[in-house]
Parts: sequence; C-alpha cells; structure tokens
Amino acid sequence: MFNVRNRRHFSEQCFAFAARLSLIICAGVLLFLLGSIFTQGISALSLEFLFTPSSSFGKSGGIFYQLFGSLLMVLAAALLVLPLALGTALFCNSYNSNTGLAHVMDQSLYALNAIPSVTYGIFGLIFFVNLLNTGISWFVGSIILAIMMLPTVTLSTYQAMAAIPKIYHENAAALGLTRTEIVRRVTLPQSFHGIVTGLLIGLSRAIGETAPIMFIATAFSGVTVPQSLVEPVSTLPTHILELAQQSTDPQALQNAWGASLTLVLLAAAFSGLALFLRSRLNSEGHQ
Amino acid sequence: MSTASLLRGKIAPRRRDVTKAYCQASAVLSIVIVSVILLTLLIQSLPVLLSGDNGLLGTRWNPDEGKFGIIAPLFGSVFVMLIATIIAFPIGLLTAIYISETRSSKLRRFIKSVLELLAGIPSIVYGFIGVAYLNIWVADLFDLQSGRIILTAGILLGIMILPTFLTLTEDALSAVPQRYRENAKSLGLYRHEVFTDIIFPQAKVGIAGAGLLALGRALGETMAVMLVIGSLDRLPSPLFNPLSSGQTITSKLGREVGESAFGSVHFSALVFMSFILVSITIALTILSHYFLTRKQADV
Amino acid sequence: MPDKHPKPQLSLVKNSAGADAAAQSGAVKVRNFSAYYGKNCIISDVSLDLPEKGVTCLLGPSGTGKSTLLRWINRINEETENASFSGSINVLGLDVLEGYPDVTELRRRTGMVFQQPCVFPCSIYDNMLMGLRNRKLSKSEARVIIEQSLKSAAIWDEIAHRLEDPATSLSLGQQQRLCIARALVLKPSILLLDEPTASIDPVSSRAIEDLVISLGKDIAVIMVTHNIIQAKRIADNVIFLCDGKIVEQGTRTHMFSMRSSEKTRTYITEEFCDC
Repeated sequence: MFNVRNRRHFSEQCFAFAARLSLIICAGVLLFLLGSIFTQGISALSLEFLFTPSSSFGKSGGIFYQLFGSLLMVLAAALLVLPLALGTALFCNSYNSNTGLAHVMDQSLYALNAIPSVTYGIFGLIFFVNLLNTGISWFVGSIILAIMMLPTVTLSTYQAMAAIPKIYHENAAALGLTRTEIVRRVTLPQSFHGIVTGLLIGLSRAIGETAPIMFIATAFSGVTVPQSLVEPVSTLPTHILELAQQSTDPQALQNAWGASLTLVLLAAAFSGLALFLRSRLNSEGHQ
Repeated sequence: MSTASLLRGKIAPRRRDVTKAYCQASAVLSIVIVSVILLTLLIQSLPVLLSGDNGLLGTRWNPDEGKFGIIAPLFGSVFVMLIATIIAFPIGLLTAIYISETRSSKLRRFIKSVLELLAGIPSIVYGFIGVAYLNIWVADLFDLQSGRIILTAGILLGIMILPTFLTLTEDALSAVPQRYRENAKSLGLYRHEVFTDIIFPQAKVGIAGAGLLALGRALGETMAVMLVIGSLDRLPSPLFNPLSSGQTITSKLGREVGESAFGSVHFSALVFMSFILVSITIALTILSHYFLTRKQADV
Repeated sequence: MPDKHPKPQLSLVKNSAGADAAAQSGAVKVRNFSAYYGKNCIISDVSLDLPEKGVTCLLGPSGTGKSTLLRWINRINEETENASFSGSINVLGLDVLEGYPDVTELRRRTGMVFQQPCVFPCSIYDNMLMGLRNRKLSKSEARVIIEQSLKSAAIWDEIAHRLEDPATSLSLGQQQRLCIARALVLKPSILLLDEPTASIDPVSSRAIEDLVISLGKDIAVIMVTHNIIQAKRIADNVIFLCDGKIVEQGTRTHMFSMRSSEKTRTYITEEFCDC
C-alpha cells in the first residue's frame, strides 16, 4: 500500500489514507446508529406492542394511542398544507411576473425553513393556546406542523412545475387556452409527482418532530382518541422523550427503543415512498 | 392581437379568475405567516426588554430575582456548535472527497441513499441514543459522575449534522466537471494536488453553503441537545472546559417554556432568547442559500 | 492499479531495461492490446509500433476505439468507470500497465491534450505553472521554460503582454493552443492529442495543424482524428482503425494512394466503412 516513490507521492498516499479512514469512520457511525435502533427495537416490537395502549406512564404496555396520535396529526397537517403549498407554488410559477415579489416569496420560504422547531412550539403556545384560547389541542399541532412543512412542499411542487418543458405551455397557448386553463390541464397534471413527493418528504420530517408539539398538542397520559379538535393527543416523539427521561428503568428503555424503531420505520417509509414515486412518476411523465 | 399577448392573458376573462385569485391569496398568506411569527415573538419579548434591571446581558439566570442573563445559554450554544463542527466538517469533507473521486456511480448512488436515510432519523431518536449510550460512554471515558456534559452534546450534534454536510459537500465536489480532473492528472499532478489546486477552488463556494446550512441546523437543534447537556445555567469554569454541564438556548427553551407562566417576565425572557436564535438561524440560512446558488462564473 | 480483464494475454514485449529500449524503433509499442468497458470490447487484440518522431494519425469512424487506445497510453482511461484492459503497452521502454507503480510519473513523460479545451480558472501564467510542479525551479527559471513552451506552441506573440489575465478570457482556439503549450512544459517525448480541433473553428484549426506539423519534427505526436482531410494534411504515418481492429497502417503517401487496401480507399474517398 505504501509504495512510495518520492515526497509528493508520499503526501498523496497520506491524503488517500485520510480519506479512506474518514469513510470508515462514517460507515462505523452509521452502522452503530442504524444497528442499535434496529437490534434494540426489534425485541420490543410486536403486533401486541403496536396495538396495545400504554400503561404506568409508558413503562409497560404498548404504543397504540401514540401511534394513532402521530398519524392523525401529520395526516391532518398534510391536508392543511396541500392547498396552501399548491396555491403558492402555482402563483410563483404561473401568475407572478414581479421579480421583487418573487424574491420576497423566496426569502419568506427560506425564513420559514430556518426557524428552529422549538420556536414553532413557542409561537403555537403564544398565538393559539393562549391568545386564541384554544388550550392544548391536537389540531393546533397539525396547523403548526403544516406551517413547518410549507417550505418543503412548496419548493418541491414549484420545482416540478418549473421542470415542465416550455413547449407544452406554448402549444397550449397556441390552442387558445387561457392561463387558468393551462394551469388546470398542463401544469397541475405534469407536476403531480412533485406535489406527492414533496408531501411525503414533509410527512417524513413532521412525524419525527417533538419540540413544536410538546407544548401545545400533547399530554403524556390518560389520553385516548380525541373527541374534538381542541383535545390533546399523545404522540410517538413525545412518548420517547418521556421514556428517555426515565432512563434508569430498563422496561421504560425497552419501550423507548420499540417506539424509536417504529418512528424511524414510519419516517423511512414515507421518504422511501417519496423516492420510489419520484422515479416512477417522473419517468412516466416525461418521454 | 399577437400570440405574445395571448400568452400574457391580457384579454380580460369573462368571469373573475377564481384560480388566479386563490393563488395570489395563498402566496400572500405564506408571507403573512412569516411576518406574524416574527412579530409575535418580538411583541412577546417586550415585557422583559422593557423591564429595567433584567440582567439580560449578565450570566445569572434566576427568575425569582428577576435576573435573566442570556450569556450563559448563548455561550453554550456556540460552544456546542463549535465542537460539532470540529467533528463533522473534517470527516465530512474527507469522506465527500473519497465519494466524489470514486469511479463507480452505483456505489455513489448507494451511499447517497444511505445518507438520506440517516438524515431522516428524527432528532428525538438521536437524543435517546445519546441518553442510552453516549452519556455512559463519555462518563466512563473521562471518569465522571455523569455524562451529561457539553462534550456529549457536541459529539451528538456533530453526528447529526454530518450526513447533511456530507451530501451537500459531495454535490459541490461532483459538480466540478470530470475534464478538469483528467487534464490535471495528465499534467502529472498527484491526487491531493488535483484537489487543492483545481477542485477545491471551484467547489469552495458550494462547500461554504453546505457549512453554513449545517451550522444553522446545529444551532437550532433542541431535543438531542436537551437530553444530554445537563441543563446547568452557568458558564463553564474554566471557560472552555467541555467536560462540565451546560446549557444552550434551545435546551433551555425546551426545558423551561412548559414550566413558565404565560405572560410573566420569565416567559418573556425565554421568548426573547428564541427571537435572537431565530434571527441568527434565518441569517445563516439566507447566507448559505446565497452561496449554494451562486454560479461559479460570479466568483 | 488499473483493472485487469479476466483473460490476460501474454505480453510479448516487456522490457524493463530502461533507456536503451527507446533506441529501438518505436516510442510506443502496443502488443495484443484489448480494451473493455464492462463486458463491451472496444479494442480487440491490437498490436502496433508508433515511431519516435513525426505525426501519427489514428484515423477511423467514431466509436471505434481510437480515443480509448490513446487514453490507455498515459493510463488516463483508468479514471473512467468500468474500463479494463488486457495485453501490454510499452512507452519509452517501460511497460505502462505494470511497470509504473506511481502512474503520475508516467504522465509526466507524456503530454495530453483533450478534445474540449480545458484551461483552469486561473491566470495564463498559473495554468502554465501547473505542469512544473515536480521540478524545483526558481521563479526566473520557470519563466524561461514557460516562455519557451508558449513559443513552441506559437502563441507567445499573442499573449506575452497579458500573462496575468484569466485564461478563460482567451478564444477557444487560443485556449487549445494554451493547453498544448501547457503540456509542452513537461518536455514530453510523446504528445497525445485527442481530436484537438474538433471543437475549434476552421481558422484556428489550421493554426493548430501547423503547430502539430512543426512539433512532429522533434517529438512523437500521436493524434486521433476523424477528419480525413486533416490527416492527409499533417500526418507522416496513418493508422486506420475500424471496429476496434487495425485495418491498415502505413505512411501518408501509401495510405492516400491507389496502393492502399480497398477498405481504406473506400473510407478515404467515401467516408464509409462497413464495420
């Protein structure tokens, strides 16, 4: 390996060695992370675990209501964000010719993306829970998650729209279609894959979020299916948080591993689906 | 009536264009949301700013005495971020170099999908792994009572920002066309010289963007840091001792917001800290996008 | 080390005696050489000798392996995905594929210019300095060598006064001549040119062709081209490759006369080759 011919060659060998070593370190960290989540979590995971409610503050029992709460909140968030993201992306793509406004829109979306998750939680606490007096409400959690997902979904949709070949628009306009008709018949169908993948990626991130919802939407125990919009739920991330703070109890730890594995699998399922659909829908849409 | 004017839609539609109005409203709403968030934070910060003798620029945090010194959490945030970047940037850069120089595109694609998977692990899970393993290992390694110290938070954060930084840096390196490498190697340059003289100057703008984005993530990370840092509202002594417990802005917010009364000066102080954090992360993100999208010709 | 294809052939010429070998005819000796991309065989069992001086043109339709062969001579092809080989290539007496553990040393003895002019994004002077990395030279010595190379590349007069300007401010034809000058800084005995005028306008192409002719008086210039008229203008020897095999090789006068084989004549007159 160290077949050295001169001083510069030696430097090159050192450089190559350092690069290889870094790769091995990264691979090691990766294996450790994924491996520990998997091996520790798999022993806790079972159908029973998934469908049994938790008891004694999570130390025993399963995670049924947490699973339900997480899925309920993110799916409601997806429904909330979809029309807003679609409208905003359409505006930037088809209806806006003012570059100043376009610049402001870009910066606004970047700013939304940059706000830390705990700040979203604080905002939700101030604006909804207190000022609007909703109390701890799962729906408010969905609203906040929807705002967090907005930049991701908007950007993905916009990129898909911008990628539509101009020739489609030109042909449609030549046939006498108005701008709105072009939007409905050309832009929306052709950018459908971007909307879907953007939503899935947003869902993948939203389901793992803890800080935005822990002040405003969740309660730890005694929670089942909410009967109204202004009741709390329990969710997987907040459940893991509580269990992590009881780290001396092995049973709590084991349940935490099970919940972590479930969460990681859900997030991976969403983003895996997004990747799969991106290649499938994209190749069908463009010749 | 030219085709151009047809395309611009200057012919008045017979009924109001509902779709267009809807899209305009959506766009405006997006901008309004950002403004409302920032404004709300600012307004709620006012009570603590307006109350004199709040000790904001001090190092003591004691709500009962009305002292809300933000220096300690601010210092903690920067210290943890520093440790994280020392870990993530060199390893990330060298690994990105290796990946971008590898011949096989199949291998490259595989590594990139794995990195995306890693970047998708929720931060609470990282935090839990920190509690379950890292705390204990660090405590054993340095013979401490508890592993809940600044160093642990820095290491954990470094592991968290590594995939993102790696992917973006690798993108920047691969964006340099292959012909530059071929020409440089034909001239008898060694691989490290090809990197320092040819590749890096062209990729450095993209790498800077990647770094800033990673910094922003490091500063804004809450759950993982909160679980492993120890929540001690004091500057470490000596000042640069990573083996003491500490506090970051995010860990403080995570722990205390739920426990402080809405409308109190305490709460307002927390909101003010959050506002400072948001300003920094927004500035970092906008700067990083500026770097990431700048074309090489402008440099 | 580069990938060896699973079926290596015997190498007939493996001379590690060093400089003496160069005194034999042929600066580059190719023996039973085959090149592959994955399972695709691009060059099959080619053997030839390339002379020490003069311009040798590798001629033939596109995709027949001319560039691939050229790129294995300085082993730059091992950077390409899935590329592998079997057989042997001898450059100046040493086996290229086995005798050079540090491939960068090999590349310092040959110079290569690619089809697309590729100047580095720094000044003209810094571009030229790139080739001088391995030699410890003072600033004035370096300047002398750079001036010499720019003169041999027939571009000195045009840019002597603007050496600090960015190299990208030159026209494409000038950039390509700069690339040739940059390669000449290495004082190579073999210059490898991969379709150097393919991206250049006709007027600048003529200037480059004249340059190639004058360089051929001192060193071995091996040029890949699919431009038959260009080959007729500048080649001393022509090797006609088709479908990864040598159809015919010989001097220019032979190849462009009625004495060449029918396949060659068909290609030269009608640009058609039924490989």
